[in-house]
Amino acid sequence: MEEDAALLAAIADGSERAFNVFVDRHQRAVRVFLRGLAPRSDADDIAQETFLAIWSRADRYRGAASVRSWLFAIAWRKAKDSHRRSFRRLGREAVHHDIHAVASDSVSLDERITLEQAMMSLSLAERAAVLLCLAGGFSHSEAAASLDMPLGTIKSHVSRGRERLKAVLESHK
Amino acid sequence: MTPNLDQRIADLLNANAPRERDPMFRIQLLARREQKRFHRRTVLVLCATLALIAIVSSSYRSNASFAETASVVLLGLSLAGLMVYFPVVAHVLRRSRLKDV
Repeated sequence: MEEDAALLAAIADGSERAFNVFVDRHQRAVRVFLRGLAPRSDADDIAQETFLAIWSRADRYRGAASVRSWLFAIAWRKAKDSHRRSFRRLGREAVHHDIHAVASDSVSLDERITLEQAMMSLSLAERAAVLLCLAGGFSHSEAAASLDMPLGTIKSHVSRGRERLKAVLESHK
Repeated sequence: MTPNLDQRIADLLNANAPRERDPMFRIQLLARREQKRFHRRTVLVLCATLALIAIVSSSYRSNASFAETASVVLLGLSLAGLMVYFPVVAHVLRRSRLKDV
């Protein structure tokens, strides 16, 4: 399997194939992350803008952080911009998610809705930290690089978010 | 917090995940990229055309000779060409600079 950094170098050279491989490899994780931060209707839009930014700025990757961190840093900036725009347009009260929960083999719809409501009670930064570390399998330092926050802040965001979700899930039992 | 509960949270957060491979998403993305590229080109060509019209009309008004007008038009065309192909030129320059380093 080609390394992400090699793919980025090929994308910078204008390789369509490398871009397609890169998108296929990361679209799921990026969209899960963004669906937790933005209304579902906007999340895929932001994901597309993220990948378009990769297409046009792949040559700016310097290797200081992992490609995954760099990709999610772009997604995070775009999600924040979108949130800011919605906030200006609709006002604080109206900026909320449509809860679009679906049941699956391992997860009940009820539980899913409860968890989404609990997620909505967290701040945007807390949600981002929880999504990266608990759902995306990022280490705290990787998440800190992606979200451009100090390591301690990430740890406290994850811990607070985890406690909130734990409380909700336990009360739901 | 037990690892089981951590896993449960991860499962719940991932329950709405899209498919591992989503050709629809990729097609929409490529369409969007082409659309953006087309818009950028259109705006550039429009700007270049307007600039060319402005150059030609100003040289016409100043009663310039044919040779002067032609050279101004040529200059305008080269500037327009540079504007339209600037991203490509910049990309090539950047790549060659990177190779030098």
